[in-house]
Amino acid sequence: MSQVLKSLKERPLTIAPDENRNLFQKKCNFCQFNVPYIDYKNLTTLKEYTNYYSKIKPRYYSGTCLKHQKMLSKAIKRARFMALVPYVT
Amino acid sequence: MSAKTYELLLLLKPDKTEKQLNEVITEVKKHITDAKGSVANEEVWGLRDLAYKITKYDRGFYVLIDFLLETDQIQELEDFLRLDQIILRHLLTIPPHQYDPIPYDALREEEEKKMKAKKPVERFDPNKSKQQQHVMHKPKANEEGVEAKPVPEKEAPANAAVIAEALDAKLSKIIDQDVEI
Repeated sequence: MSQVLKSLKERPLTIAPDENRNLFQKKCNFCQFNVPYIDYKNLTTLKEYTNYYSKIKPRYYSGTCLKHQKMLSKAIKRARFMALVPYVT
Repeated sequence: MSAKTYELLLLLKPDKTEKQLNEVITEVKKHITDAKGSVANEEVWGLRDLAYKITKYDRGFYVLIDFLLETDQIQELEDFLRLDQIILRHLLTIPPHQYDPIPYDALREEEEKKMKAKKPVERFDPNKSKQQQHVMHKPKANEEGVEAKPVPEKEAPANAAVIAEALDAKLSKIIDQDVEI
């Protein structure tokens, strides 16, 4: 547990998908920093994984793993409910 | 019974006075402490623009409360929150064990940074449009060049006529020779 807590302080606030990523090479950006939980209040990260129309980007575009994609979708849906992020624009 | 750490985000109506808002917050905290819970942290975000309209309201007053409460008592708290008139919406979540929450100021700063980093929208510039017009004129200059090209072509027929005359002369000479033979 101490290792996880250490990484929390080292980790950047916003985690964005790598733009220069090879599309065939799947690489989860959250797994690199060992993210245990995606906060629904961290709006800058959520916006990186949403569309221009504020739809959730599919996994084959962002390259996130299934575990973190489920966390992401949950966080985005919570933020939508509290009117922090729009449903549709 | 086991106690759990909960995270509660409240969305309050913005048109109420500060006294009314503070009353609601104190009531919620009192409800928690009465049920043998303890408030760990309270964070007032203040007024914020909503992403979409909720029953005619464009803005909202956000308050975040972290507390420790037994799992039996949570249903009563939910009912209390649902029946309150000033609370627009509420969200109860269970963050993972030993999760240290990110302070709101840091999140807000990050958001403002992102907004500044965005490229400004290019507006109509009369000087720029003139430059573009110059660019648009360039093809016309090319057309003039095309018009200029026919001039040498006009000379070419003259040359051809001279060549044709010479050829005629040669031909006539050859024919004369043939006749002699």
